[in-house]
Amino acid sequence: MPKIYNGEIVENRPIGGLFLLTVSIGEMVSVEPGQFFLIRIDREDIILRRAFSIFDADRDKLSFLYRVVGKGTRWLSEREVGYKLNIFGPLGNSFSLDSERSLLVGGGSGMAPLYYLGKSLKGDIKFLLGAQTGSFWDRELLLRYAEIGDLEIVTEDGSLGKRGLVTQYIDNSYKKIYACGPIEMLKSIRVDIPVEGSLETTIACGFGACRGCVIETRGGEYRRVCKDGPVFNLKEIF
Amino acid sequence: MSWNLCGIELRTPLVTASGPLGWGEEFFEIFSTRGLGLFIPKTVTYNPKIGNPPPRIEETIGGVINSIGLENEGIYKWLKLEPLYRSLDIPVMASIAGSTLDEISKLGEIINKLDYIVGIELNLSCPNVKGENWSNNPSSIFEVTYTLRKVYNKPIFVKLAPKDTPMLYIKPAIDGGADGLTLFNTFPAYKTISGGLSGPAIRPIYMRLFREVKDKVDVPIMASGGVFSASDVLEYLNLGANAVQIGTAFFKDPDIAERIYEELESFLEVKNRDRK
Ligand SMILES: Cc1cc2nc3c(=O)[nH]c(=O)nc-3n(C[C@H](O)[C@H](O)[C@H](O)COP(=O)(O)OP(=O)(O)OC[C@H]3O[C@@H](n4cnc5c(N)ncnc54)[C@H](O)[C@@H]3O)c2cc1C
Ligand SMILES: Cc1cc2nc3c(=O)[nH]c(=O)nc-3n(C[C@H](O)[C@H](O)[C@H](O)COP(=O)(O)O)c2cc1C
Ligand code: FES
Repeated sequence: MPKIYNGEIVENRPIGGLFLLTVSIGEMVSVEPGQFFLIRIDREDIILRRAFSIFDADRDKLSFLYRVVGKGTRWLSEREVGYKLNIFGPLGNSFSLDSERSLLVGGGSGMAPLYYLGKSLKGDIKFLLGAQTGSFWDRELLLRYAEIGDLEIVTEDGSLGKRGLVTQYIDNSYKKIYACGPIEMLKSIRVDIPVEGSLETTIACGFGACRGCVIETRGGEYRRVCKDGPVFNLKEIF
Repeated sequence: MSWNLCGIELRTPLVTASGPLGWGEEFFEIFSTRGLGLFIPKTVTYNPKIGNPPPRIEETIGGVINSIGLENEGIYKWLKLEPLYRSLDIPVMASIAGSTLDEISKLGEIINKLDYIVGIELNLSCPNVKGENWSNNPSSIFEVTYTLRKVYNKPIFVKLAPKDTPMLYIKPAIDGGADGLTLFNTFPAYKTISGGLSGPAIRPIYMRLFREVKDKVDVPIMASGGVFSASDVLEYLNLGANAVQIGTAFFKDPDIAERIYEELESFLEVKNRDRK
């Protein structure tokens, strides 16, 4: 059941092109890979909480991996250790964990939910991570991913790993693909095997009530990203 | 302390604004009614409405633009919420909208039979069949309110759009048989999506309109618009509101009603003591 926690920041530091935030919430919480929390931005001009996928969870600590893209994430990146952060979650559905041989595809900050997913999946897993340029990743972060699965990296400028886009390096030899990243990346995954992807829209209530976060499925229905998702069978969407 | 809206007893003056919390199924699974005096679920229409295409939400400075488009499953599915509404320890008022007088009349007749619904908030911001908004036209406001009045016996609160010269729109609602008013719905706005603006950004505008009407109206009024704190509630109460609705603030703090009420209670107690 989701809950509002008054967490305390125990870590919030740049890690390559991202930030790693760890919040201690003072009690054990059970979370599933793919779920997210809404973080309150304590500025009067900012109303909506910002959504972040669970990057890792360990007893009473939750970690998030985020990219500074606007004023909310900038505010967050400026919070120091000890700051009391109001967070609400866990929210949303989760990735299914039934696959035995999985490819986990992450574009940019889309790599965030894949770490906890990778830790939870059984069988062979391979991470396929993409970014514009190699400096986006910190060595320490890539090593953490490499500890739990095979790791292949792709950069658009070819400065690290293979050159190009992650979607060029997807093959069909896996049982399932799990993906998170920019919408263009998710749209261009064209394979015959099942694909579960985590989607983003602007979130308002976060618990399925306001109908503000809907996306349109191929069948023309509206589904709530915060409650029916954020994880969807991508073949139903694109 | 208790609060009264046309005979409806509220234990606190805080009311959920129709919409942000949907019909309550998800909200009351997580949160309690603590702090709340009345629950108004999201507007229901006679037929199901799929709502507007996404994106439906955009943030502005101190505000939110929404274009949900009254998505709802229609009155017959809505009736299935009865067990939830009966289980709440606060009264529930229905919010309805329609695009024809016939729809309003049918909704009124159906809800009139429900003993667990204490009244109706009539949301006029639904476009009629010609695509016009009823709330823009004083004679439509009269007609729609009167149509509902003829079939509905319990309190009717007419929820109006924010307009300059508000009395022009309030008078036909009262003449049509409204027992009370909800002032106001969202403010029309556009950034990259067009929709209704809510949140603190609209509050000073709404307070000005509110101040203008308070001495001219003798029916109970629920204030709606940008309430985020106990002092916002007090400001509306001081301007003559009989109850205060909270909408967008639930996005920032889903437990906002509880938070505000705690603060309000200590303030109102002090004020009461001083009065004695
Ligand atoms: C379920 C979910 C999980 C997410 N997980 C992560 C994560 O783990 N790491 C991470 O870095 N980012 C994640 N995001 C995206 C993150 O929420 C946005 O980057 C953030 O809200 C931007 O806020 P801002 O104020 O910095 O940007 P602004 O551009 O100033 O935000 C303006 C508005 O647009 C919305 N918005 C802007 N960009 C996005 C976006 N890409 N997706 C959704 N809403 C957006 C904001 O919520 C806000 O309402 C997630 C989004 C969702 C929906
Ligand atoms: C997401 C959202 C959905 C809304 N849906 C409805 C609705 O269905 N019916 C209605 O009468 N008002 C609706 N409103 C308007 C609110 O009830 C309220 O009048 C308005 O938002 C102003 O108050 P606030 O600033 O406290 O939110 C909605 C508002 C929002 C933000
Ligand atoms: S954000 Fe309210 S339903 Fe998803």
